[in-house]
Amino acid sequence: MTVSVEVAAIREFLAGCPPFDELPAEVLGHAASKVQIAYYRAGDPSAILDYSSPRLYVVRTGAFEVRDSEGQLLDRVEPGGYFGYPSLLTGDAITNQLTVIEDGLVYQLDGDLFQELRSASRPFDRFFNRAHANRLRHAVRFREQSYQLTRRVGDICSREPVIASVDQTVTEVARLMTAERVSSVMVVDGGGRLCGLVTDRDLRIRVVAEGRSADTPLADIMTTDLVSVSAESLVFEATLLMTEHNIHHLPVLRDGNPAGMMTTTDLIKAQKADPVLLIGEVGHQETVAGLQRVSRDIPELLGSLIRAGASADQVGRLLTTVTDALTRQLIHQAMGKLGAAPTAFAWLAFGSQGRQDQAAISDQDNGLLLSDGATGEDDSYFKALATYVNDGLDRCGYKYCPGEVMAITDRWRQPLADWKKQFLGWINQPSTKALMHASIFFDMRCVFGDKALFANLQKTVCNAARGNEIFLANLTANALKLTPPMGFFKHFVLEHSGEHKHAFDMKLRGIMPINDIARIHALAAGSTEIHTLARLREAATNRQISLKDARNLIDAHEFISRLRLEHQGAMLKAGSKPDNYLDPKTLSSLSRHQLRDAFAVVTSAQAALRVKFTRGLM
Amino acid sequence: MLAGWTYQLKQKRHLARCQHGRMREYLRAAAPCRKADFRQGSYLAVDLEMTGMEADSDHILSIGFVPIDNMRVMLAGARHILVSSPLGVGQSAVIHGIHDRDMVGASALSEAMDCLLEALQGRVLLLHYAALDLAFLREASQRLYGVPLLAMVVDTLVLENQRLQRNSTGQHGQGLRLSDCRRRYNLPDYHAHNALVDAVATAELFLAQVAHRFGREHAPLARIISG
Repeated sequence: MTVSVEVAAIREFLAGCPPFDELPAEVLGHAASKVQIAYYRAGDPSAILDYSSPRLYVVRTGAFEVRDSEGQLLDRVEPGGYFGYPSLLTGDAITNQLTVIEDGLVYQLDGDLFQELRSASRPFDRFFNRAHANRLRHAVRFREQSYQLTRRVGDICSREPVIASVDQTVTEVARLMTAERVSSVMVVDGGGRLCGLVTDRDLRIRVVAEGRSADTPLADIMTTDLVSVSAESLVFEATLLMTEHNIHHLPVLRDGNPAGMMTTTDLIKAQKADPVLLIGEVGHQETVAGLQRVSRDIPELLGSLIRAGASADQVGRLLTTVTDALTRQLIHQAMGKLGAAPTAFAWLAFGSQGRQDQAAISDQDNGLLLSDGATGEDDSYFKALATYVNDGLDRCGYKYCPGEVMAITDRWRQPLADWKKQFLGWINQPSTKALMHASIFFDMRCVFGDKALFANLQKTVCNAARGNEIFLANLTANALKLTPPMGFFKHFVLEHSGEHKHAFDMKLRGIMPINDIARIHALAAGSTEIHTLARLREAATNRQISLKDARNLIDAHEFISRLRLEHQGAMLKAGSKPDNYLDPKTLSSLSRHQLRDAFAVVTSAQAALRVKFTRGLM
Repeated sequence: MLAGWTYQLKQKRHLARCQHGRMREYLRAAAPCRKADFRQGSYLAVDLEMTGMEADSDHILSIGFVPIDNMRVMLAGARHILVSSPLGVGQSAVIHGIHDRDMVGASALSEAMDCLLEALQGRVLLLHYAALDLAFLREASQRLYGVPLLAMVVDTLVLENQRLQRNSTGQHGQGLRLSDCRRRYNLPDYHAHNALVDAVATAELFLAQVAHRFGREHAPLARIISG
């Protein structure tokens, strides 16, 4: 008797879903033969997740949304995507909820089989661990609005607790506080429970002023009438407590154990780190000096976003929102001084500000688009406006563009007709050389001014670029010059020049190539989308690239951007000037593996780009 | 439609006439409960490949089946059995891609039917266009066990036809082939064509049909049974 229990169609589908493609053939066959299949209908409110037995769900058709118990969207799952793995990995009960957005078929693997596959294949195991880590990052309760109100004490508490034992002496604790550079310590009893608090002030008032000996045990001088707070409490509650009791130090407990000390300094920092407040502040500044002062808090904002685990995409959008607000406020200030504009105009942002993916260091990339009626006299107004804004941005930390792509430069402050001529020149008579520095212009966004004027220019550009093979071929030829350093892992090398000889430029060799790929696909389709991840998603929707490739590129972009953010966050914390250079020695082996995966994704997408756009032309 | 008591009556009659151990065991098993919610039922989706359309002159070439429990298609219980035919595959190889050379190691029809009966015991038989496959199964059963196959049947083609009539806004030409039906529910196209793939495809179609027709509404098994 011939018994074949494998359904080829199901095996093939799984084989196309990473990490199933990494499974040895016989293990894949075994997994495919154990699949269970269910069908879910859109809008069916019944819980799909089987709470009694966690399993891995693989979406075959349809679309699903995963939300946490509070309804916050964690993930949107489409064909080839997964859900249900967090509880399989952690063993915790299922708390997330699932919504069916579009009817679909879901393959399910039971928990035992999932564990079997994890032990059979390291890449399989690693894939789901990483997916889980990503999900956690996105899950961090990070909401732009009401940020301050929803933050927890544990998120802003700046350091580990400094702890003394109740039988230590005053001298010992004074030394400890000096060494740790803190103004207070938490005192614990023999069982490790918090029993008191000693501050600088206690040492002054209860020891020195009362003439006690240096051998006095802490028990005699510590404050025992304690107010403390749980790490899970809202920052808002902690602030109330401190005000109410007029105290500057608040012990933070987690499960009853000392977890940290919250101080008034932490609170002030936390406030600076609130993007909503910061942007609100920007809007109140009447002078450049005022904006300069407010923008000093941007590094603190960045640090807190990184600590809060925001995704690189969220951070990029937020930082850009701040830059946009500063730009607008500078324009308002300039118009306050110069009077109303003589004709319609639009302030354009290019490059990373255009794409909304700014990081810790950003140069200016901007321009002014004037209505066609603008006269020479009008231009002197706009030149003065541009000077004010460009100088203001420079003082706020956005350095002058080394390539002079700024509104202050005459060439980048032009009436609509001239901007069109400029773009059509790039598009219709392209040369690789002319396009070399032009790519940032194709990531343009209107930050202030006449939206219709901008839309007019954008439409001309999109129509001219759509399907323009020669232009796209030239753009592609440029894009292919920047490749991920695949040799990186062999030799741990290297930018060729300068002080960063042994480092990898994450922006130039990692993030830019993905931006380039996204831009070329968007232009090929005549799309007005400028955000890199949105461009990639759109390219997948238009079937310019496969969904799998789009997802891989999005993940690679997020991963490298996140690596860059963490690097920059660490440099800011150390008080040094952030840069884009990653020293390979600082990478954990897991990050190295992931970086290698990310490079491979970019390299293969570049190869596909070459085939698609330079065929026979380059 | 076969009422519950009729089914049980037939079970008894068949038992009285049949001496074959395998079939007697099948007939003694409790029948699916027609009054219970259909979601509590167990199903076996079955598809046959034949040498032709005539049950009395053509032969079964292969049998594919897959169980549904708790409204989930359980691939672990799936089987694909090639049946050796006394006449060879002949013309139908063009359709099924089964050639005589593939039939080496195929099972005798009796073994294949025993295997099917064992899997079908206590389950509702799920078919797409039941009339054709049933004719072959009844014929084989009659020949091997001396009684026709007795089963409660759900026909996904009938379910689909009912749906089209209910939603009828005069649309004609809505295909009733398995792949046509599946497309209406956002189910994937399976290209490879064999009895097992089609059994799985039928099972999935069934899940989609009842999800759309009933949602969370309670419905007794009797409402979807064709015979």
